Amino acid sequence: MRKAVTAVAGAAVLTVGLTACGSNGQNSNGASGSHIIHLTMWQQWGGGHEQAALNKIIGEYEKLHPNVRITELPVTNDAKILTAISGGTPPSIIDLGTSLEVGQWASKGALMSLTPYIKKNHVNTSVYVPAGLKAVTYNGHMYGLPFMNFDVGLLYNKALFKAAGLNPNKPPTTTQQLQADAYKLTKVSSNGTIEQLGFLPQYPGQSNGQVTALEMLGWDYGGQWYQNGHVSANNPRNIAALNWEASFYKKFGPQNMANFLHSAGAYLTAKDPFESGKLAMVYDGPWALDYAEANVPQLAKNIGVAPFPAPAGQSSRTGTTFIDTNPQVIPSGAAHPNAAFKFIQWETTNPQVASTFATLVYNLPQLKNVPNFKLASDPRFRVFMQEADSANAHVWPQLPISTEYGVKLDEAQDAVLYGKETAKQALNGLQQTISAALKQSK
Amino acid sequence: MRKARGFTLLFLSPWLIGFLGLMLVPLLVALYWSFTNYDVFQAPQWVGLQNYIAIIHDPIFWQSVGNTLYITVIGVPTGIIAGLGTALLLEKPIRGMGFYRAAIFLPTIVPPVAVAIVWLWILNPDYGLLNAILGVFHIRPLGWLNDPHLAKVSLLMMVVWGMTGQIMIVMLAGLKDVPVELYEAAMIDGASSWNRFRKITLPMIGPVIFYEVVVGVIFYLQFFTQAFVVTANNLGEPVNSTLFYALYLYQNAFDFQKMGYAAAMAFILFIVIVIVTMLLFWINRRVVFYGGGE
Amino acid sequence: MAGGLRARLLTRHVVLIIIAFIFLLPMLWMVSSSLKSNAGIFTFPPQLFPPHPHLSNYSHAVTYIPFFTYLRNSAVVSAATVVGTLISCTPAAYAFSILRWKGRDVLFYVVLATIMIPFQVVMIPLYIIFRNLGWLGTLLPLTVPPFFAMFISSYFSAGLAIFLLRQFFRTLPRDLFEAAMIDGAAPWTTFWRLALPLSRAGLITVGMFAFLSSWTMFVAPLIMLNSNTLLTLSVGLQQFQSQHFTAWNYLMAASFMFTLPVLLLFIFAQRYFVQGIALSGLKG
Repeated sequence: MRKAVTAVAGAAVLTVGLTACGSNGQNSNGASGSHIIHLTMWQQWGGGHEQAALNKIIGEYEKLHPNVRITELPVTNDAKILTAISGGTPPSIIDLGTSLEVGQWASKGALMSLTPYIKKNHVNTSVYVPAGLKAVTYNGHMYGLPFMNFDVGLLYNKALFKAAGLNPNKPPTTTQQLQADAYKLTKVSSNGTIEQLGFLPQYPGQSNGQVTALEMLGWDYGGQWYQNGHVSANNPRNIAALNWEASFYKKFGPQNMANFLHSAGAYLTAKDPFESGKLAMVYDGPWALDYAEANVPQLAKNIGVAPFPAPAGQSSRTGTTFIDTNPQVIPSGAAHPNAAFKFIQWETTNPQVASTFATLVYNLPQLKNVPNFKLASDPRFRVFMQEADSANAHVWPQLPISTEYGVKLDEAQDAVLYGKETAKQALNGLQQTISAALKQSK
Repeated sequence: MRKARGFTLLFLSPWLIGFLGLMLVPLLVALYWSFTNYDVFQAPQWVGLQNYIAIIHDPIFWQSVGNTLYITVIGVPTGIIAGLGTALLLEKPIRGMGFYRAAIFLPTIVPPVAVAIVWLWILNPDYGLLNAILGVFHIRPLGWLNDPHLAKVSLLMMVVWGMTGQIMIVMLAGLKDVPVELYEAAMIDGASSWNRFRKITLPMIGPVIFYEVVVGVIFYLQFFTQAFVVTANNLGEPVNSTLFYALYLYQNAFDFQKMGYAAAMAFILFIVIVIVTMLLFWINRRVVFYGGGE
Repeated sequence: MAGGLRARLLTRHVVLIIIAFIFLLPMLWMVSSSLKSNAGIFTFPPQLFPPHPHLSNYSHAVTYIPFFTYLRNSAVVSAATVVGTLISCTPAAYAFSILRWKGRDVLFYVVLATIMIPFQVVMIPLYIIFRNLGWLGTLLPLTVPPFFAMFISSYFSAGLAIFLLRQFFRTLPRDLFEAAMIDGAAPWTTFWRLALPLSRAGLITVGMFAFLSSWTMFVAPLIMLNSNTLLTLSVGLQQFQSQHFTAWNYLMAASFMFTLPVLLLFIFAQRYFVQGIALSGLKG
């Protein structure tokens, strides 16, 4: 028996030892001489025209730096990224779709701090929109460079407003009014099926790769999710926000709301709830305008954009939004970190690249000054840009447990919307879970 | 006799090498992790039984256990009945046999991503096929995948649809090996078809059914891919009703980087599966008939 | 009597047609979607027969992603899995069923235990082993292990192959082997001349399962393959999805092309099942 135990421990120690060696095995960086440096980049844009645009950028960079070759691979799976980093064979660059993991991974040493590289290469960080920088900062260090920021506002269907007897040029200015308008914009058939809905707080939400509504609504109601070094999930303002959300579901029945949501086609297709003209108002980002233009041009003309309203009497928070970016990070143990940094520096600070890419994906440029950025003259797009630059643009707290917090927040929201728990119960539970997890992670 | 032993070793050697090199070491490492606080990046820290204790007090863990037991208890018999039923219908030559077999088998080879998309369409509450069929019988449309009470059943339909073909193949192969003389003798004795099935077919394919029970139990206790693909962005929705054991394990390991916790969950599952399988083998020894005797 | 038989045959056909329809319908929708425009997929009411089939979806699908490269990789991995599994698992299954030796049943429980390990926890150690072997950046992490009775997918694994074959061997009459041994036949001869021909159906079944489980295998290639030229098709299909946009119609076209070769293989192999009766030594 003892022998067996020794063997187990031995094998474990052996392999763990291998892991430790592995993580600094490969990173001899040879950015010198005439040798060609091969960089790999895992990107989250996927296939299609976004991949093509990225390859164009890469091609341009390779022309300027003939000794660098960059190969991109679409990777969206965190398990793959973690396995590669843990196994000591990560790519040189990872282009992440959200900053949700940055704090969590950085706190565990999975990402390289870019602060020394920023100093060494004299990067002027004041060229970036500050909110984007905040999203990649953890514990005073920068763990990524921002690329393509994004936030949300209120998109509404003017034709449906008109049909419901509402003024299509007067979108709601308070959350109370939003709710009243939403009820007027809702049509329910005799058997309870919702045929048209004013507002659906859950949508697009985490199921569609976006953020949970409650995250933003909490801020909108004056709440915070992390304050003065403490988790503040059960902040009374957050509870109020969740109650406001839940009231829609109480009114029309949670299952009817869920059926409405899942009856529609996939997000950002002509048959999604908003593009098909069944949902009158939605909180979503500027890209939704682009997809509507491509899928249903006649609707696109009729989409109004407004800052998301705040509760009555709290108008200073009108236009509250989350803001996030696509962090360009260098994982620990990456080969050629110097060359990798030079590429992401060029990629994220080149105004032409920012302008081209932002136009392509209808995101906000991460740079303050971008020449020839035609979208900036579109008043609807400008709403998103102005929001991004205001004090009401919030970043999800970068903590060692950011992802867990985000996932559990969505669970708590769903439990309340489906009537399984009250807002207070759910957020108290969340407070407890996340505080404990945070304590344990320290 | 020594020669025979050498043969045995030779026959076992590929498996033995693979087991020692590619299975045992990773397994021992994972076992070690289960006693540590391990975030995948930094060196693991020994915490003793702490993970195991935390798991027992984790309500979501128990929720995932409940969800998993639910689909196992329903999924295993349903799959076997569907597989055996179709195999019996297609065992004897019939015109179009190849076509029917291929039709039932086809779903097993569709890539998981495509399966998910097709089924999301079938289960769509508003214009989905299933509710359209229910509508013919004047049954109110159901929410299927987005109804916390029906989500598991919906997933099961999808899985049984995708697995019946495989079970059918195993059953067919088993049925082929039932000696024809047994049936002939029974026919002469005037046994009814139900009795022939009960007294000859069922016992003779007992080992194959037993195989499917064991495989089915293990599959459902580890159920992962289909649920993962359907709820990719939001594991376990709605309201954790499809958060199965392996899904929650994955979430802990890779979303929350609690690899120690996940490893402990894996070993609990491992031990449960071992116990259940041993139980099945115990039952098997008493009930199932093997041509070879034993 | 003849009328009763005919009626029974007719019912059997009707039942089978209904069942076949249920199993085929999702596939039909897949094919139909592969012929629609990307927006047309979500039209209501759904059209099973699109009025203007977009055949060009198929030519677009194979250029949207490096389809044929991925197809070749899938074929290599699947072929290796089938051959490797049969070479490594058949003798092992024979040792666990027909041969008698001390500790056999205990070790067999170990085989079963390997089936029960959740892949998520052994993934990282395995990855490190493959890295130390220098196999990352090649297909070897997927093609070599089957030869050592090691592969894992969601439906099937080498442990299950051993288990399944053992079950087949065990249905063979014991007397046959005992008689052969009394006649002085070597273990190799009884294996090669007796056990293998008698379990043809079992071997084909296992080969078939090994093939299709490796063909649709998702997690292992996702984790182990790190280069665009090495991906298998089941992983590569993801590339029809980009951050906000999915080319559903191309995805469906590629998925159909993905299932086609396996379908053909099945139609070919299932004829062997039928032949299996005639060849089976059990008959007389």
